[in-house]
Amino acid sequence: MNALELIGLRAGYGSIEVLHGVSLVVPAATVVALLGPNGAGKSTLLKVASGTIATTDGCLHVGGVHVNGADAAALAQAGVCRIPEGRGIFPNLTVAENLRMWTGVGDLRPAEVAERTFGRFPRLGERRAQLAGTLSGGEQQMLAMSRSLVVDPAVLLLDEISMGLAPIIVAELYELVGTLAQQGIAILLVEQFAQTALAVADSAVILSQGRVTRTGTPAEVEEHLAAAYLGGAA
Amino acid sequence: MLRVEDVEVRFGGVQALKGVSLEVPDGALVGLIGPNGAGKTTLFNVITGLEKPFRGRVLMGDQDVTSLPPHQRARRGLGRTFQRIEVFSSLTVHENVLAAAEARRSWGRDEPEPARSASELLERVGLGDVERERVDKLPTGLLRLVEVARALASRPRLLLLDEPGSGLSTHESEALGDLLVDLVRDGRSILLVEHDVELVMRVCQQIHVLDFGSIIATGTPDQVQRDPVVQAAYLGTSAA
Amino acid sequence: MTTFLALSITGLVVGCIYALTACGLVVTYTTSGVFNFAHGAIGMVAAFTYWQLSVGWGWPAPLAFLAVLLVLAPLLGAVVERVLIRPLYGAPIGVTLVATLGLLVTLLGVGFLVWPPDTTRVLPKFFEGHTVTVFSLVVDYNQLLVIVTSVVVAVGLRLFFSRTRLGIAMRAVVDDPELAALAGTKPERVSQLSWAMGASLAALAGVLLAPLQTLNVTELTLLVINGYAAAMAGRLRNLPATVAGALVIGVSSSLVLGYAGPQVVNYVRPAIPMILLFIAVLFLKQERLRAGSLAGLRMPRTTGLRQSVGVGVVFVVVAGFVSGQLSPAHLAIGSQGLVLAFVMLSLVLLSGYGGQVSLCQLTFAGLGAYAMGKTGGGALGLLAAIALPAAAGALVALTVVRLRGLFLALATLAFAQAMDQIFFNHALGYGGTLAIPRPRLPFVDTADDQVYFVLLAVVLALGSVGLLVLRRRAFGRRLIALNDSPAASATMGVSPVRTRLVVFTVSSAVAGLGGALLGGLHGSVSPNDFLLLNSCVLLLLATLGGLYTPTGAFLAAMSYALFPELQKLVPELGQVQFLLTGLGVLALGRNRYGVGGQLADAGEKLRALRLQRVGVARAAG
Repeated sequence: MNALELIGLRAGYGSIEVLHGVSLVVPAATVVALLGPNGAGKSTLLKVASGTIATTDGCLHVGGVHVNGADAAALAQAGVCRIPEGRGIFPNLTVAENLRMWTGVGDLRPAEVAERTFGRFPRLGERRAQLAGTLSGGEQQMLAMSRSLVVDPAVLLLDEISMGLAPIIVAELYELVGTLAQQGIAILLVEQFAQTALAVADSAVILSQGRVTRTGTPAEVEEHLAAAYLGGAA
Repeated sequence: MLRVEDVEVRFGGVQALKGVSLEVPDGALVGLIGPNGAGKTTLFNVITGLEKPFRGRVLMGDQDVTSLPPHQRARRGLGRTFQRIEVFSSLTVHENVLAAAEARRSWGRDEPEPARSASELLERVGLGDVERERVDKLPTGLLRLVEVARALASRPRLLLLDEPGSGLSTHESEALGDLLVDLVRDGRSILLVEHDVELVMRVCQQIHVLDFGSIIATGTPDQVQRDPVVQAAYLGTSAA
Repeated sequence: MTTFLALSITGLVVGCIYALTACGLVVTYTTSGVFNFAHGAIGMVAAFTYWQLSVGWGWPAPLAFLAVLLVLAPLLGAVVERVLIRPLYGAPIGVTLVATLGLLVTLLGVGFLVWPPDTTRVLPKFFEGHTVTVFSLVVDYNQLLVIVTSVVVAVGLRLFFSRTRLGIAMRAVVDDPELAALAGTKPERVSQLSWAMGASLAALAGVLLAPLQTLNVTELTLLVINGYAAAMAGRLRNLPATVAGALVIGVSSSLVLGYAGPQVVNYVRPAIPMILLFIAVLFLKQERLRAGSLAGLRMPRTTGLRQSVGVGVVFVVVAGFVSGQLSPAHLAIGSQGLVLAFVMLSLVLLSGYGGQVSLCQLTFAGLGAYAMGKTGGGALGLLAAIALPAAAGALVALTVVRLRGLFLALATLAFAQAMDQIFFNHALGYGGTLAIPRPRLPFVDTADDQVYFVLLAVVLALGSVGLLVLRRRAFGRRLIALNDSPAASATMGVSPVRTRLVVFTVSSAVAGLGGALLGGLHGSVSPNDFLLLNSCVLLLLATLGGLYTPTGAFLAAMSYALFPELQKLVPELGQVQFLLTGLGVLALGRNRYGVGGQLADAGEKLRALRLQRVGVARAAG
């Protein structure tokens, strides 16, 4: 069964339509890389799939259930977890308070949430009383990713989790992505660095100007990347 | 015409620009490209005075304008458009441009007929047919052209264009490219931020690539396109 | 020393109450992003309800206390959030400001309606008669209760926000509402809770304050406004700083009252919180000139010059005809409406075109009347009536020119209230009046009410046409451009400071001239003519009528002039201007263009329809 399915989806901001009928599926236990040039609508697509932006047309299915019109909090309860671009944390709350917020979904007690997070990212345990905004970029992203670890999502939407991070931390985060996929989670991955994403992906989709222009295995899609990003000459 | 020297901008702990320097020579059309969040709009804000740099200078001609407020810089010949559209939404298309022409008259004293200039400029960017429309009835692509016409109405010597081509059809974007070439031929200098890489490659003589707040490459369109560092920035291939 | 301590304790008690109200304000503002101008009014209603339950219906005091604080007030807050605030999510500050001001005057109206001011209501102090002596200082239980309650609330809030998941969620929503939703917390629920808590804190402040004062609708409402300055001291965010600010305000006011001479006390004391508010607002760090988004309001089409002159001429002719038919009493009402409409043109210019909120337009009108009265009228008087408010306006503008939105509103509110307390009460005489002559003209006898009526109509017509001409010229476009996008205006060489200064000055002058003519109409003015609350009502009515059109100003002014008549007809409705205006705003508040805008739109549709028909006819022919 497809954990996430978009059919002819249209959406945008106010009167400006960004997605002009996008269809794609993400089966359970699969990583799909969503690639494409700036402004193609990748982040918008993730926002629509998590209920932050409403769809104007088409269908959004989560776990086979039609969920058009559900808001972000409701979709979170239904098992969708989006880690937003930039900082997916509350900068003015401490690490421990951030983790407390993650208990809004799922049935883990605060102590269990802390245990799981600090088990995976011991560095966060050392900084539990620190304001999240004062953590290093890598630690902030670990804290953001810890939500996917503790809410037991069915669908995980990752928006540029490697942005601005050192390669060693990126590797650590992607190791976690692989583990989560093995646990059966459906993962849709947006990445600035196409190669990084393709290395862990089972399949890939190129989005260009609000439309899917290519779908295939990572190898198939890779050939067309340069043209999509830098124009014909490269 | 414009020189940016070692500009650094911080938002909280984040360095949005890390010592950026670039130059726009007189009569040149210079492109500035880079991935989302690279700091292009921030750089525009620093140049126009909407953002104070933590460090570094902005020079127009020989004059250091770093401490001048935005309207003083505009009066020294700096015009711009905005990535997040900033039209005057309660005015008509014509009035949007007229307001700028009238402002030019009040401080420049060399704009005898603002209303006619505004109409001519709208004609030039291809909006002659809709000049009596309320601006909020236009699609976004055309709003960017309204901004271009409005910026031109201040008769700037240097024009900063922030993604003027996004939301335009292929045909419209070609016309925009021709317009830009024309404007430079008239003696203006242009610094162009644009996602439509083909447009940039076609019209710019020189291109700077901004990534994570730093200039990572500078060169002709051909050089930039072949630069492995640029490819790495865009595609994530390991840089040679 | 004993005096000092006693004064400090009194001040501390008042400071604690300010702290409670200010904390409520901050909790609501940070979580929902809306500054609740009705905060004080909620406290007022709570205090009266408490009186009703405990004194009126004889409930035991503790029961009444708990019922108000834990049931009625939170319920009111939650309902207000759901009905009034939630639909305005993301709306520009001008809209939320009008909505909560509307709530303020509605609650005032309700207060006057349910608890008419003709009976005296006294709330006994808590634990009346019980005192303790601390270091030779007699402190009564009521004071003790206030202090203890405040400490408990402060500690409780601190624990709530740091220890409970709900409290953490409230802070999380402030940080990033989108992420909070992604983490499964509904931001709107949290916002609703913050309104319930805010209302409860307002109620607590009101109930604790009431026994220290007489139970008076306007005074209670405005006294709680004193907490605004404290909230500003905490930058509307920081609770400890807010509490500290409140205590400083309370104690310093009390000490000034105790030590300064009666002269200073009478002049300055009532205005201390407002002066502090003004200063606090000025020193708050302002937003930078920021590129915004497409949030501008759609203004109605502007009437053409020929058309507006035509309408003006017809208006004057009709006024001339009507003036002969009206009884003296009705003539007075009509004149009042005309002159107020002229005052409101200053609001159309400043707020409608310029987008700057002002709660002190009547203050400038008062200054105009004052200048006219002191100079003895004549051409010189008119000149003074324009020059003095213009100068005052320029001065105010110079200090507040960098403020926008909420902070501008708060600064003008503080200015209006301080002028009420310091200037008008003395310059115009406490409860007394200042005689204002009518302007003299050749050939016509302005002392004749009928002639004066027509004169006012002419002045209004000229003002309206002038305003429309201004709108269609370069200055009008610059003004609207600056309002729509400050960043884009600056990048085309427009100096935002100079433009704002000019429009503020001109608008003050217009209001001042209107004030002088208003004074001339009645022959005198009193401090009560220029109260802050009336300025609020005028602003709201103007919004209802449509801030963007002279028509809107006219409609608004006429309704304002008719309120006293309505009150005579239905005296049981109490202070009808508050209730009706407030309800009107609450009902129509979501229509940002007001009745005037609707009319203009309807006109435009008709025109389009006619053009279409002409087109069809041509095509057929």
